[in-house]
Amino acid sequence: MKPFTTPCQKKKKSYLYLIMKDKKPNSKPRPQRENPFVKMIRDKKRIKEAIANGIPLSSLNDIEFVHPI
Amino acid sequence: MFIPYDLTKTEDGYQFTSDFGLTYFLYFSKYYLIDENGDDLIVTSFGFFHDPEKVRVNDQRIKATIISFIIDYFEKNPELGILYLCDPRDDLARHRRIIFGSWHREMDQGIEKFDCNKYHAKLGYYSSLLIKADNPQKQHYVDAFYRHLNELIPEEA
Repeated sequence: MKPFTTPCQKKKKSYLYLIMKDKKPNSKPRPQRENPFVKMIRDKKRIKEAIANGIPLSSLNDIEFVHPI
Repeated sequence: MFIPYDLTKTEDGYQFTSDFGLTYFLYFSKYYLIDENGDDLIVTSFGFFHDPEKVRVNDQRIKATIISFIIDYFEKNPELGILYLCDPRDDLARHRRIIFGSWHREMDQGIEKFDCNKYHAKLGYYSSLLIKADNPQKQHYVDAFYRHLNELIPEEA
């Protein structure tokens, strides 16, 4: 005799199956890195322009300013 | 040794005002060198500028402030490196590297400096890597530094 399963259990089972099926590998794909010198030269130019135009550096979104101290 | 100026943290970095009324802005931005295994090595680039820009003053406390700033950086981040690219503005990149080199000699805190080779310097890419001598990743950083420079401008055979 087949074990009795409620509709709710069935739903749960299929949901779990979907999770397992779609499970992605643990390691995240590594972002493609640009040559740091290329980015640094471009960033320096943009920083200089921002300063000359009185634009706050924090508005340069793709430059990662940090406070290591 | 002269007394460094007091730094104030800002949204973008740090700042201080000299005795001569010049306000200096310092910032660090983050980059990645890639080692031979394809792993990221975090480096920060260090830059500063002052306002008003055209005023030039020989103030030894500014040098003391920058040196103290870099020493402080390595005390708090001994595992990281600093990538430095001299600003070519006014054709003074070489001059800036000479000054930076003399400042480095005064640091004397086990911080090593690796300069780009003559070929890249001749083309105006006066760049250096600063790293703690006892950083276990030092050789990975140094190799990646030179490899990225050669990727940017391959040396002529």
